[in-house]
Amino acid sequence: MTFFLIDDDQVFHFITSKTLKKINPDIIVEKFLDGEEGINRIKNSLHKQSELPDIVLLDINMPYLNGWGFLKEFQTIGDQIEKEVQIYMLTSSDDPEDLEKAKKFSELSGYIVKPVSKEELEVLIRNFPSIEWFQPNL
Amino acid sequence: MLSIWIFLNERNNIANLEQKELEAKANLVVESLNPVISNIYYWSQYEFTEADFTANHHKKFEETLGDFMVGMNQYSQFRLINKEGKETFRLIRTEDGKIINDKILQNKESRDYFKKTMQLDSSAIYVSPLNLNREFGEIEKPYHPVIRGSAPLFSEEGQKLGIVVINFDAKDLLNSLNKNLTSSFFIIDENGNFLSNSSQRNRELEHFINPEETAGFYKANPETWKTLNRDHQGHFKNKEGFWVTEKLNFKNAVSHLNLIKGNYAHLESSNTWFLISRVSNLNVLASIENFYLALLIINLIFLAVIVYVSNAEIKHELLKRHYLNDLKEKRNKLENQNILLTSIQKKLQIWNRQLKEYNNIVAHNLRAPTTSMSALVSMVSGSEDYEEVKTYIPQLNKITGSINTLVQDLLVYVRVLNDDRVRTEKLFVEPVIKSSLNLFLEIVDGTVRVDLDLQEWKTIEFSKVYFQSIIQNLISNAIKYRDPKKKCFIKIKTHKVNKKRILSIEDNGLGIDLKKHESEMFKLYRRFHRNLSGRGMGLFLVKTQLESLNAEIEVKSEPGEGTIFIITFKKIKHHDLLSD
Repeated sequence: MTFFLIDDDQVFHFITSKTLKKINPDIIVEKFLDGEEGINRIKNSLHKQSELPDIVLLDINMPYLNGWGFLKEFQTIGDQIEKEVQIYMLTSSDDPEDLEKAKKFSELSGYIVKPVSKEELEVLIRNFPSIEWFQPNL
Repeated sequence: MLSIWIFLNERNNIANLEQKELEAKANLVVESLNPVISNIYYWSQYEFTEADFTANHHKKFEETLGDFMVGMNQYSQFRLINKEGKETFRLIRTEDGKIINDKILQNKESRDYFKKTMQLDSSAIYVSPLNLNREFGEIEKPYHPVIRGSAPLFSEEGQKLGIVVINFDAKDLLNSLNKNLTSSFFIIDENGNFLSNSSQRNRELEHFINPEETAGFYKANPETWKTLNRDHQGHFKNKEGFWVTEKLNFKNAVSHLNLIKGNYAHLESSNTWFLISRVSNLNVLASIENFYLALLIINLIFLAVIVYVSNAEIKHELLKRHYLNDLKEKRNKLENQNILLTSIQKKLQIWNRQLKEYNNIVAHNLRAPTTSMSALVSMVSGSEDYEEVKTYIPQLNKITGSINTLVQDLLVYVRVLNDDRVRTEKLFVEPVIKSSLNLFLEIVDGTVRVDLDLQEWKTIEFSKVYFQSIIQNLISNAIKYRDPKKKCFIKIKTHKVNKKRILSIEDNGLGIDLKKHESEMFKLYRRFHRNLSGRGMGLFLVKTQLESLNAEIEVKSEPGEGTIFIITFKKIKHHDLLSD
């Protein structure tokens, strides 16, 4: 199982990857510091879909290309992606505007307010691929 | 105008009436003298003998003449005078009206009427000028104005015997001519002497009474006298008055008598009289007094109506103006309040947005490290492996570092937000901009060229500290994101649009894709250029500082072309009102 962590917060990368490894050392974690890096990685893997992630944890506020920008770019290449890729929006605030905005993206599978606990990650992994909107603690 | 027309018209009417009156008076004179002429003619044809001109031998006439005199009230004397000028027969009417044969005969050889009559032929009749009666060479008192009718007398043989004289007492005639006068009335003779003068009775016949001091009509009214002598008839106006005149020439006046017409006799008389009325304006006014009164009343009524109507109009107008002024004032007040409210609303919107922004910063940027921190801490406490715990330390350092930076940035931001009473001053932009330029090495060494065009406006009411900070941030951005493949320049220009001061800073740098980033441009910690240092604080601070002083900033950019920041300054007003 492959996780993409797209967040400019390196501490988040550290904590989350560590937690994921604890859940299952076989989980592959790739880290990206902004949306642009993340979307470029996905675009480069379109010809080799096995390298695409299963789950993406996407932060909203990032330099160069933020979470929303990433989603728009992702929409443009959506029909070229055959693999089941589930994207979860991550945010450090519980801003209801962001939540409303998030719900309008059919590419999203859930909305998680930081910090992301070990239990939540376990649910994501266990239920994968989920058809239900995932939104803990709200 | 109307009243003047009425006046002139009425004066004309009066003149015409007066003219008729004067004609009637002239007729009266002629009619009064007609009997004298007839009677004289009768006696001139009487067959006198030489004996009749012996004094006091006229028994045969006494009775007839006595009767004849009784019937003719105006006859005061009947006399026969012989050719030597001695009276030979003298009938007089006494004061009490009796006719007596005066035995005291006088010599009249020196008198004009005697001389004149003696020269006449048998068919001539003489009428003397109006005169004062004289007895024994002296003017009789009380004065007796008389006109004498006379004729020469001849015997059957044609020998001149003497003259017959009838004295016509003119007192009654003059009185009746002066009756019921409405104007000043004068009779003057051909020499301009007053025969009658209704306004100055003492001037009448003065040329007989007091010849040395005579002041006749010619003296009092010389201009009118001149006009009369030019044979002017009727009425005329000059500076001496408004005159109505009638000329009476005795000779002409009696020419219609059968006696004269039939050539039985002819009249000798130099008498030419002017009958004159002077119509005073007062008379005219008096006669149209009622007319004027009516006119005056009508005018007054009109005036009153006009005054009332105009008064009402003025009141109405004043009321209207007052009302309009009130409305205008109220509208101005409302407009001012509206402007104030709009400005307050705008300011509040800005504040609201800034607060949201602040909230957002705290929510995202502060919460992220704290949640990370708590996650790390829980991981540390859950771990029993010291080596593992050691790996957490650099992460914790990162978090505290980012929290420190954030808190410092927030402090800067909050200071701007709270700085409502930021000190503004009238500052010259050029020195501030030039001193800011000198802070950048790339400008000093010529890597980036700077064009200044600061002619259109040179001063601005603004905070000097903010202005410096804004200029430095924008220049710093222009330098940082320049395109190293180009010859770089920065253009700083002041100009005005709709009276608002505009400051634009343009570069030919890397530019930015606004389709992607426009909404993020001025937010905190937004970075758009990879591989270039930047904390994402500069534009955020620029916008916050500008907004706190009612200015705005917008950006236009094309990737690869360059970027232009446009700052619009507005009048700083109502700012103090918002401090609370």
